Amino acid sequence: MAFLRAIRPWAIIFLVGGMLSFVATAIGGGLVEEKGIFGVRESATARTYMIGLLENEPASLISLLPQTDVVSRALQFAQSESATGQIQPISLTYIGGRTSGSLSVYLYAIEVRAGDGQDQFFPLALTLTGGRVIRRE
Amino acid sequence: MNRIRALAGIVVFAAGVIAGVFASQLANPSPPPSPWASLPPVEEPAASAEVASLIAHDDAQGLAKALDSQLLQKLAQAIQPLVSIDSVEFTGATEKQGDILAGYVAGGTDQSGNNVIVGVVLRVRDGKVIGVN
Repeated sequence: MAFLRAIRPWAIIFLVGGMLSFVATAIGGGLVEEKGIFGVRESATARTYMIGLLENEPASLISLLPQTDVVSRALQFAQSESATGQIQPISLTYIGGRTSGSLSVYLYAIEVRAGDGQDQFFPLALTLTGGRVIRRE
Repeated sequence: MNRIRALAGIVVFAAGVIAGVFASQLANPSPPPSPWASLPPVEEPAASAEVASLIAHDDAQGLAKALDSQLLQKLAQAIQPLVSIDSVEFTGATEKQGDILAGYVAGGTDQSGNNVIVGVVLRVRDGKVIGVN
């Protein structure tokens, strides 16, 4: 008990320092990203989505999409199964993004080899809000 | 004794600050490693920069001269649901076998007046914009 009483003020100082830096980092990082001062760091959700898309993992894609009905999810699984083995990803390049309010846009350049051996090089833009992909084009 | 206590307080506070930064990093994890290669970045192409500037300056006549009607239709689709564009920012570009993909984010408002951003990627080849996504 005496030990707890002795370390209490130190624990409070430690927690205050921790909380201050946590909040400052979150606010500062958010402002820097919104202003695009150093560009926007690629989001883990966006990268996971892209890897899932290129590796044809419908489960990881569906978990990142807004909640949809069972038929839409079944369609996504079916399309994914029919596409298996038809494309071979070659490169995935993040070409930047921006954040504004709750919306974030992440842009990618994708290079794939199609089933007929032709290489294709095309872009993809993801729009995320609340950690979910709401738009892909 | 008081000096030592004050010094210890500063050290504990600094340790808390460092722990807070680590906690913040844990709350925003880094993206998982990509199993594929990444292409090197390139400079913003002049042709796409011109188109971006025309969009940002609301220059419909200039856009009509810079892009053919097919590309304009694709651009119209790409910027949906924006009805008013306030800014067009270059985010980055990469190149493969002469094709440059230049990324832009357009910001503005939709029909309901909500602030919206959309991603637009312009494909440039031989100094000309040949595609819009």
